[in-house]
Amino acid sequence: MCGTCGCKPHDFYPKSATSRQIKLDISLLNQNQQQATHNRARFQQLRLPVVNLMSSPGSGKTRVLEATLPHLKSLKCAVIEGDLQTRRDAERIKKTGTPAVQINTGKGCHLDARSIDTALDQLDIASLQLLFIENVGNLVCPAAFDLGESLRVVVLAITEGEDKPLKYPDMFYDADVVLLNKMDLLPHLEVNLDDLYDNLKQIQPNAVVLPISAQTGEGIEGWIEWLTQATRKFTSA
Amino acid sequence: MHELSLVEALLDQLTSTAQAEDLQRITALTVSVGTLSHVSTEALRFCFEACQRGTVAESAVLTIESETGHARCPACQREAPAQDWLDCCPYCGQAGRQIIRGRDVRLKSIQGLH
Ligand SMILES: Nc1nc2c(ncn2[C@@H]2O[C@H](COP(=O)(O)OP(=O)(O)OP(=O)(O)O)[C@@H](O)[C@H]2O)c(=O)[nH]1
Ligand SMILES: [Mg+2]
Repeated sequence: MCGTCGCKPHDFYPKSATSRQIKLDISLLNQNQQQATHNRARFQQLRLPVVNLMSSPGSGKTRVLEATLPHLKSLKCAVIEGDLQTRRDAERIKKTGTPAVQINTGKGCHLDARSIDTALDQLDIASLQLLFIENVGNLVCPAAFDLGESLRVVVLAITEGEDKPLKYPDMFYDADVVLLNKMDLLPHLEVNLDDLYDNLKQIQPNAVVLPISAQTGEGIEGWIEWLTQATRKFTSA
Repeated sequence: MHELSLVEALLDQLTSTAQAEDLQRITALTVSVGTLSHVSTEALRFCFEACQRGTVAESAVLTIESETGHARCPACQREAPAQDWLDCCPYCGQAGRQIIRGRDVRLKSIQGLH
């Protein structure tokens, strides 16, 4: 209703206006998908593998990167960091000697393909050989937004409990690998790893699971091996 | 939740469709939410009603319908409806089915005035 005279918007339209029904059937994720497809084509052209790291807040995404990057010194890597606020994670990455760009999503609970396109302007991407994206800590929303990445890596800390794959299936369904982090804490926990594996298989029978500790370095070599192998098909012509 | 992002995409789509179809305003729309999408219909409606003011769909009535998911069994290869991610194959009881449909949110139709 207008504040001046109280008229309603439709009072302005002639009474004879004809009404029409239009059938559509358009995905609301289309917009993001188009940008993601564009990003992916750009990465393909550069033969640049891009890894999208996702997890709940605090599962250890940044810690995993801190443990991973020193093993990849022979490659030119960069990291895009997504958080609601602060530049803390980008600062942590820069300490490893790797260039990092921080995206602050403000209220946004996930990164989208457009935010990646914007962040790429701040990187010399033509010179890169491997790009990591650390998504906003959230086990739900990031799963629905393709960024154009080559690989989806989900970090699940064993402190989170064995039921997470059942509660957040989307995330685990699309994962190329699940890093089971904080294995060093196993003696202190009641978590049942067999149940955790069973729950994962219920959602994704082909899931690759790598137990690691980003803290002690346990399992990191196996993860680097997996990563080297998995990125190969994105670097070759 | 990402319902707000979806509503932003929805309003962009309504604006461009209204322009392309030469509609003065949109009076009604139907959106389908997949049963496997993890989108809350309450949150979607809330966000839409909070954002529709000042757009071509200012006074539009939103109808939300549910689209049943579909999945293929990795064991017997048969397709069947899936209400939930954990539904096993109704033919052979196998878990871990491949999702074919039902993770999406779609704008199905609009009603508009010329
Ligand atoms: N004991 C143990 N602690 C870990 C391990 N990995 C990470 N942590 C700790 O867990 C906390 C969170 O780790 P981060 O790397 O900040 O987690 P994150 O997933 O990047 O968090 P957000 O970016 O805020 O979502 C820190 O205190 C880490 O030191 C691990 O393998 N073992
Ligand atoms: Mg982090």
